[in-house]
Amino acid sequence: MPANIAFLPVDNGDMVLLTLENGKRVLIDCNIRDVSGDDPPPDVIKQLKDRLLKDDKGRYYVDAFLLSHPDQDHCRGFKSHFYTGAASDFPADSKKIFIKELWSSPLIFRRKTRHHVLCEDAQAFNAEARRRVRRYRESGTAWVEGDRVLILGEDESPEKQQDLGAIVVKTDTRFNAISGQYQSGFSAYLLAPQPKGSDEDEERRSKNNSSVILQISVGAGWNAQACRFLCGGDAEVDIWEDLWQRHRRAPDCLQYDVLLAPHHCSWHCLSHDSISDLGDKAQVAPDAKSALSQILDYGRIVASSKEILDDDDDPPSNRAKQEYDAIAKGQRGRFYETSAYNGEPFELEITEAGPSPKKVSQGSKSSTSTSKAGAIGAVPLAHG
Amino acid sequence: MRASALARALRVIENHPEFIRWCEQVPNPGDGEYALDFEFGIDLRPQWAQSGLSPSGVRPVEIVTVRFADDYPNTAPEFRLRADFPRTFPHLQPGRAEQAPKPCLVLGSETNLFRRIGVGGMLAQLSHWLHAAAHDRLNDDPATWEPARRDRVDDHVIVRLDEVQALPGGRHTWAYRSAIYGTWYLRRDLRLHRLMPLCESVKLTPEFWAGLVQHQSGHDICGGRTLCVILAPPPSGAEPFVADLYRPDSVHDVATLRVALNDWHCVEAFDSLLSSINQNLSRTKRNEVRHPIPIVLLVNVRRPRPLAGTRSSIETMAYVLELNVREGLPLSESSPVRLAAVIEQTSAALLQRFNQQATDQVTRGWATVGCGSLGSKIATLAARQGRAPSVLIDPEFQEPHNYARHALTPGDPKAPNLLLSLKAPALEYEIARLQQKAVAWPMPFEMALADPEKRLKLCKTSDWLLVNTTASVEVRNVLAMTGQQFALPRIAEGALLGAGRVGYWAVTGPDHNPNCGELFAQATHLFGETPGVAKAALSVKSQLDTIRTGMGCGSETMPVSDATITQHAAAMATSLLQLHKEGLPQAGQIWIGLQSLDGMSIQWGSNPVAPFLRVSLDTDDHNPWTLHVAAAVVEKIEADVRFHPTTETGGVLWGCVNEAIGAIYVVDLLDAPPDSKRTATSFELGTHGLEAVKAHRSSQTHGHLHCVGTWHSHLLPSGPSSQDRQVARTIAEAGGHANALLIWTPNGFVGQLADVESINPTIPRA
Repeated sequence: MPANIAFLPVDNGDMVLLTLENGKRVLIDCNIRDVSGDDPPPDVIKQLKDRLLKDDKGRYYVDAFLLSHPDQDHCRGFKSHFYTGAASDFPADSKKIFIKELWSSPLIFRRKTRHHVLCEDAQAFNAEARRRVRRYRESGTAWVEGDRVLILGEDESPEKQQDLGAIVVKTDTRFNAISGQYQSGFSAYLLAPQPKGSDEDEERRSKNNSSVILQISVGAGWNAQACRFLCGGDAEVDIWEDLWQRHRRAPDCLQYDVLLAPHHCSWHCLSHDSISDLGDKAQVAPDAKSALSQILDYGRIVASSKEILDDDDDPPSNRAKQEYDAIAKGQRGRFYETSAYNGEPFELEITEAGPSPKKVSQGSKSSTSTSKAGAIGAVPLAHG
Repeated sequence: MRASALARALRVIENHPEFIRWCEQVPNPGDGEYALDFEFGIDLRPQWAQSGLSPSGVRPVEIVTVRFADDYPNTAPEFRLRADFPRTFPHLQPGRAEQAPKPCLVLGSETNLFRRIGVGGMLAQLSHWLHAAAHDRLNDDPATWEPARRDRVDDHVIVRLDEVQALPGGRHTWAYRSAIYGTWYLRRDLRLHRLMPLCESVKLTPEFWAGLVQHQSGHDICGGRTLCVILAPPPSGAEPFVADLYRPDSVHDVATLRVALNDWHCVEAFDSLLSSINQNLSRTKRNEVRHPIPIVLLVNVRRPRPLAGTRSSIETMAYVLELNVREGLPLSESSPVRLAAVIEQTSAALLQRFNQQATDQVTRGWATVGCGSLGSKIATLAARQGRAPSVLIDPEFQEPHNYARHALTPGDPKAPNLLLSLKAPALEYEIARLQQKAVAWPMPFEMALADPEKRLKLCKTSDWLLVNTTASVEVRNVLAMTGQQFALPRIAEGALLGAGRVGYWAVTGPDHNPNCGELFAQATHLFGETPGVAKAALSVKSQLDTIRTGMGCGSETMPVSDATITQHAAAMATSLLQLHKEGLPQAGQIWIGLQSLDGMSIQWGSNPVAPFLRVSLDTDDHNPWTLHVAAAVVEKIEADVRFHPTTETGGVLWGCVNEAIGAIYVVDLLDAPPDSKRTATSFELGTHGLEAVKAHRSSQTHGHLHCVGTWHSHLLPSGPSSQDRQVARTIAEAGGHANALLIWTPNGFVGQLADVESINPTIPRA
């Protein structure tokens, strides 16, 4: 089975399923909206389950679940659709998805709660992460799938995590295990969250949607780096500027074949300026743009958002789309919108030769609307 | 060409996200065809894009030619690829190697695609096609093989695929079959061939070549007998040869055909054929042949997977070679070879496929009892869907006036009515023309049932359903009486009432309970529930009329149009095939359809009918009588009994009587009048208001349902008391039709007939 990255159609939100060649599945965020009502959104939980396997107990499962940061549009539906609690207590009749290993960043939660109250789903995730850490402390290494947790980034004081060394991934290090098993076709470089800094730094990061940022290398066949996938939740301009400052001399860790445009293609990931105040005079922040421009030849940038229109909305921002489009075209790459796939996931299939879309979109909306505007091509077909 | 439409189309192309640029300056439209090249991007994997080519040969930027005909937008634009685009793909229209290939954008008509979604939609399809070609996904279904496209070829070979693919087999790698053909010369260089191989094997003897003749039908059409050659690759070792690669579909002359046949290991057999043809050309009667004789060549190529939409792994490639007999020109390397489409002969499976019937479901045996207007239409509607009946039963002749409202039409315009043409064999012939087999029994149904051998045959060949469309009370009676006794299949009945305003369609229950008689009694009750239906179906005005058929003779028939009968037949045939697909209902079922006042639609409703309770009535008559009580009536009685646990109770039975088979049907109850008296040992039915209720209820069904007796309960398990017998005698002596006394006891129901003629039958003397 080829490796695959599926971007589920969640409008402004993230929900990305990474499937490795060996079948391991990592889910990054979720935004599962209510599908009742007259005009329901796509049924992403069904689309997700269609792409998951069941274990020997008949449970749908993911090998790992990463929450990039605890905003509602990144964890909506977590409480309803994912099992939380001791692995051994999973109810026989539950239809919830079983998470073998949780990837959590307490630092991100701490920064989020400086100015906001966590939503119910984020609280559920946080409680589950804490339960798993407690379970680790109690049982040492003798824990099982469903209780496993990985802590991304060091927390405020190293002594607090002294006994958690085996499950902490430090920023600017690479890990290549999923649910405790080494993966030949997977490695991930943790770019953020940065460890706790001064009060000023913490305030700045908090206001810039501090998120887990990973550069994930996906292997296919002989090619261990068939696809480098950069994803960074809603991280905004300051955070990307910091990253560029830290890695400008060796930007390999920022290179990508596929970028999930941060914060659903928000202008504020690329600029400090306000478009509503400055209009066309708003400038991109060069360092942030540099950090997000490390696209490889024929690379791809994906906006997980609602349809990007030529208006003042943000996110998604049309101006940001133009910037990403230019970044992509500079390396003969392409820019994609998840909204162009008629409610179906946008999937990139990864082989030794790199990633490419499983299907192409139906073409631009403008071309379709032009064709429909006139009489040509609008005549219903009768069967005589 | 409309310049505005062209300009709009060009703008739509430019707006496609994969459009890069026009390869030349966009000219102004002139009078003729308009063609432009443009660069179009393909979303390749990075390594392929870097190397400039996908493994299947697609470039990251392809040159596409769009061509608008001079009558655009009446016709769809055409998209073609560069001439050296690789040809080893499915979904590519056939063409010469030097021609720009044309991808097949849609399974079906590109004109329809254009009409539906316009130029933008066509370009989106092209983008899909190129992306799939680059990723080698045009045939990526691991379960099937996409056959070569033959959507736009002129010549058709009409075959039974299973027959031509069964030959040749084993060690034989070729077969010669006789074939017939027709050719239509549209213009000097444009002609269409239609060829049909026959079952007959032939040897390429001098006599065969001498026997090739051509008949001319007018100036443009000719036809005659010809040769069909079937080739198959010889097995490679013990295994059959499997052609698992798409090869360029560019055959256009003998040389390119030989290349293809070489790939399929058939070239030696073909060379032998060519040699034989050329040697024998002189034996043909060249003076009797005006146009070239088409010879059809079928090559059975085994593929690694079943072809899409079929179960067979054999792809039959068809080619036509034109034998120029008149000029005596031998076939050479440069002789043209025409591609032909392999078209399936009309068959039950083909008809099923076009009517969305499951071809993997075997057609269940069913019989049409009655081949009149309704029966013939239901039978032919089912046959056109590949589900013809097995047996057709009708004793009648097809009379001239029958064609007014029958599925069949007269055979010959000069002699429209064959004398002594029976309806059942005529319908059998019609069904045979649809390549299905039905057997005609031109005899009365009652006679067929009386013959044990026929009966057995009927039960065997029509083991699923008997469909009675005779509208005959006699046939319904026979079915009601003998269905269970002879273990007949379940029975459906279709009929029209009230000049076609009402349709009746019913299916008996398992083990014939409810049976045809019970269902019709229940239907009469249902008609009465809706005044409009009751008036249409049951009133005096709804009865039959007589229409003149000749001098001093007429036919008593329903005054209903053919169109209305067709409306009902279509609904009943739809239901029949739905039942065929999903199975017969768990219980009996009645459908009632009411035609709208403007005659344009019919509203159908369905009613499940639970099994009837059948009680043999105690009588002195040597002919048995049975009381048939609807399940709903039984429930009402039991509820009333539970409501009066310490006294007897009772009421009036409501239904109808069928004296011909000794049946009294009870489909409803009338409550006991308020002056009725209930004690522990007796029930006395009062009279207060009962006559008025009876009159009102009877009027609801225009007199078709009425009082058919009484019921009461016994607290102890006992049969009719002497008092009950006396009451029965009193009811009987009041005259009229037979009535029943039904008695509920803790051990079940018992019944007593109340009929004066059964007590003391007296035949009045003249």
